[in-house]
Amino acid sequence: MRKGTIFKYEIKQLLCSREYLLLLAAVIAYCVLLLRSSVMVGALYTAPFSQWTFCDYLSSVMVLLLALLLVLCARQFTPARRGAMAIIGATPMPAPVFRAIQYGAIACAFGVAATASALVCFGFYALVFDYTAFGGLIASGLLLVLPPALLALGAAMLLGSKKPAFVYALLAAVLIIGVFGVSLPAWIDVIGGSVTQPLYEGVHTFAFTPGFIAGRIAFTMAGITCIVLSVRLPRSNPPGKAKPA
Amino acid sequence: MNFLMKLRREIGRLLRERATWLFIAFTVAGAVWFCLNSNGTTATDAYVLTTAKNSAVLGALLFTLLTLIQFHRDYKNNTDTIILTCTDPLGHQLRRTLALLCAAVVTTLLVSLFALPYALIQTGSYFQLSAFAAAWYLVFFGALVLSILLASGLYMLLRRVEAAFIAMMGLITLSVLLESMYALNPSYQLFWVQTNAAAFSDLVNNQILIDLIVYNRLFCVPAAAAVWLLGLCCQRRYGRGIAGSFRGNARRIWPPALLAAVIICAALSYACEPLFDNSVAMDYGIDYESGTGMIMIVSSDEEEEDMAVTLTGKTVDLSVDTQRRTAAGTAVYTLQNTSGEPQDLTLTMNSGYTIQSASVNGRAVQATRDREEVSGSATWHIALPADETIRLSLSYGGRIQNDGSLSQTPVYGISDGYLWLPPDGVSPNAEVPVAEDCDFSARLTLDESLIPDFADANTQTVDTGDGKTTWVIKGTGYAGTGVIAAEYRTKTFQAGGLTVQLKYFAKQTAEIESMDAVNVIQAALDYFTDTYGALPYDNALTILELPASFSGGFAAGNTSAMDETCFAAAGYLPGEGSTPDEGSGIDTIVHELAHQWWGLATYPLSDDASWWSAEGITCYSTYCFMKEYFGEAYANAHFTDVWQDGWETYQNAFYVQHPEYLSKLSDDDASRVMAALHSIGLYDIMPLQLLEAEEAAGGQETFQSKLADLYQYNLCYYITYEDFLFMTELTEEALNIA
Repeated sequence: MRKGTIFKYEIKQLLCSREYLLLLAAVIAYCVLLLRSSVMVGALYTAPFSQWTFCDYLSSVMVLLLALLLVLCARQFTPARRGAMAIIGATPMPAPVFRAIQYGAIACAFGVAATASALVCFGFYALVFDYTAFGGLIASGLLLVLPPALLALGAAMLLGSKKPAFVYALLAAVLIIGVFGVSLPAWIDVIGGSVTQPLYEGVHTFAFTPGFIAGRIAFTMAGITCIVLSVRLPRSNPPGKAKPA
Repeated sequence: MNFLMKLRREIGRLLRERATWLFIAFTVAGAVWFCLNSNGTTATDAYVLTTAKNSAVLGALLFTLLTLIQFHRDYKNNTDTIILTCTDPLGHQLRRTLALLCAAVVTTLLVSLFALPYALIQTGSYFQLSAFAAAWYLVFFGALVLSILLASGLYMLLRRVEAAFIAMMGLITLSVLLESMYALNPSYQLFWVQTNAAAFSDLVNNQILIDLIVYNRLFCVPAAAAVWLLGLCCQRRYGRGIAGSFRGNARRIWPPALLAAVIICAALSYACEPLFDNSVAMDYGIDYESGTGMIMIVSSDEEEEDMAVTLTGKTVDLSVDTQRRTAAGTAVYTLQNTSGEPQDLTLTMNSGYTIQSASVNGRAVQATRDREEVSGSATWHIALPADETIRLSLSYGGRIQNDGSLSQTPVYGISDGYLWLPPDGVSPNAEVPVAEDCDFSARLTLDESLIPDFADANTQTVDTGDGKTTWVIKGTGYAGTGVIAAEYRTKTFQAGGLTVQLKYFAKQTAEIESMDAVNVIQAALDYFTDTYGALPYDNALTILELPASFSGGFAAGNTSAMDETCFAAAGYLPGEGSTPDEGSGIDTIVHELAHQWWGLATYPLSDDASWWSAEGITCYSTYCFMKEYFGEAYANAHFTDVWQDGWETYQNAFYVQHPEYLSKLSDDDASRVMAALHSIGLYDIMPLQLLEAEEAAGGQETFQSKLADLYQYNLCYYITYEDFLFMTELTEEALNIA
């Protein structure tokens, strides 16, 4: 079977799953709520389409986006899925290639949700404020969202391959950080809430702090390392099944 | 083996598992951590309520996981088929749920082992067992129970652990996010995890807030039980789908009957909650709210009063039952009907009350109630005859309700040790003009320990006995008053040429004695009187302490009121300063006192063209006193620096720099955006403009003497911005701070 066909099958399975659709609907509903409240007023009364406000908006949505990503990862470790791996292992396709395709599908499904949240906001800017200069916002958004997403994907797949419960532990950790509004230092701020901190300290020109950028670089590197390791390392067999000779 | 023996074994099995104890340990550790790192407005709030609320969110998360692990295990290990063939599946799930509830009980008891002594030590003499029980056993334990019922119900319904987990995470997150969704004004019954109770008082009974928690749980528990029973009814059997399994399980009558019963219970509980009415949101026109000060409302719709009927006298006799939390009374109105025709009399009364009987000139008449409720009041109608002099007698009573269109935190209510009744909760308000010589008298019977405060009314006690005291109020020219009563102690002193009564909660007697608050109040009243002139009161000025849940203060009649956090004892709360005047508390007290001059004795009138209002001049007056009393450094740090920051924020605000973008928003959205900026204008920009005016006028002393002229010339009248500029001989340009 061609890789493209497998990729299409994987992504269709993810995008059409009830969990994904439910979470995507929740993400979009939350985005709309944010647009009507905090975005419209602007972060500390800056423009609704300022980098500050957009990053504040994305950091608010980030908890739900990361939760969605981790749920997609957790789906890869269900008993049915692990059982199917024995059959997939018997096909000519190398396991690392299949895993890479799986990760690609998860990344695409996550990308759809993240893009949808950004597009909802851009649509709001364009319709309400006739603002269409999205270049700078897209760059800031990518720096804010991609590195923690890479880290979450890598860590979830690496830890999940050892024990699926670890993925749920990661999910619980993300939710605790989000729900309790745990304020993390810029260099480990997965949610991105620290981006607007300088604004409240009197800085009006938007810039990411060096600590935040260093953290994003570290997240990216750690995420890529975890992904490579989880793709290449051999996996334990599903419980109750004998090891192949 | 009977059900109880099986249940005992199931509980034993659950409590022997390491995973169960791991979840219990995490929940207890989290609760301990929250206890040690808590914050709040009062000691009870910080060390009891907030701690329990945070622990409830964590506990709900962890017990959701534990429940799903327990329910999913048989399926995961492929043992469900074996177990469910040799035991009754419904009974099995019931026992498993009850065993998990036992784990929740064990967790709560373990948490109590730390939380109770910790709260006792931290809150000391302010400890309230009812507050502790409500926080930990209704909020925290309630959240654990609800998460077990919902998670197990959703799992049985969906048969997918991931789907049930995601749904539960969504519900928990929604409960927390509701707290920030002010615009939606969600019902307090929907905050299923942590509830929306906040700011428990140290000094008065928190029963009104505890009611909020009780009625929240009275809705949430049957609602969660309904989800659980629905899951139980849909427990898959014989390989059938949801509908087939439901039909199979429904052959035993008790699951669907119980399901129907709990759904009815939940619906009734939601619909019949007694704390808030169904008031529709009211259009206030221009509404300026003060965070710490008064609220000025200028109605956009001038109500036309019916001049045909005039109220010439009113007598009220109200008795408050703090045990049953109700009030009942009679009111007699003397009315003059000059039209010579029958009239329809409109009465407004608190939505929670009903008129039990009405008679006009001795003949029984019917009082009819409108369906619609507005601002916490219901409208009643009584047909009046064409007689010139009418004597209307009403008998009424009930349980006070709050305006449901406003914040879902109750302000009014009756409890043992504290009550607050709005004017239409004391007696029905006749919507007719009140004659200048209208005699008003009211008898209020309260528990002996309660001391009432009526805004702008002379009070005397006439009768004490049987554990009750009757208070009498008499006045002329008005026809109603609200009442706040608590176990108050009164400290009377002379200041500003007036007899000042500081009414504080009895529990705070020792702290008030040792605090500087009385001296500051005395000094502030003397300062404002010396600077601007005397207040126009014959009777005493009252400074009233309110529970922390009021959050701020207000000034009305001859009363300035502020919440208990303004009188917080030194170094008492986590993160507070070592003396009261280091916090914002004393600033609020002085601000509310200054409102007696600007806002009550005179009425600075806001307009659309400037930031002029009672708030700006009150902030400036407070600053002047603080500068003299605490020194320039204190005044700059607490006032001018804050105003300057506000001004810079305003200047940089996008919609201020680009007002053309406001036109792109809908009227409601534009109004909401500008409302946020409006308070900066009132509280920060106007005081800064007054500092400019001070400089332009030739110094603080000269400017203050002009303000004194302004005050004395406009005593009991409105002061417009033009009046202010005219009296201070300044131009708008002189106040320009740009």
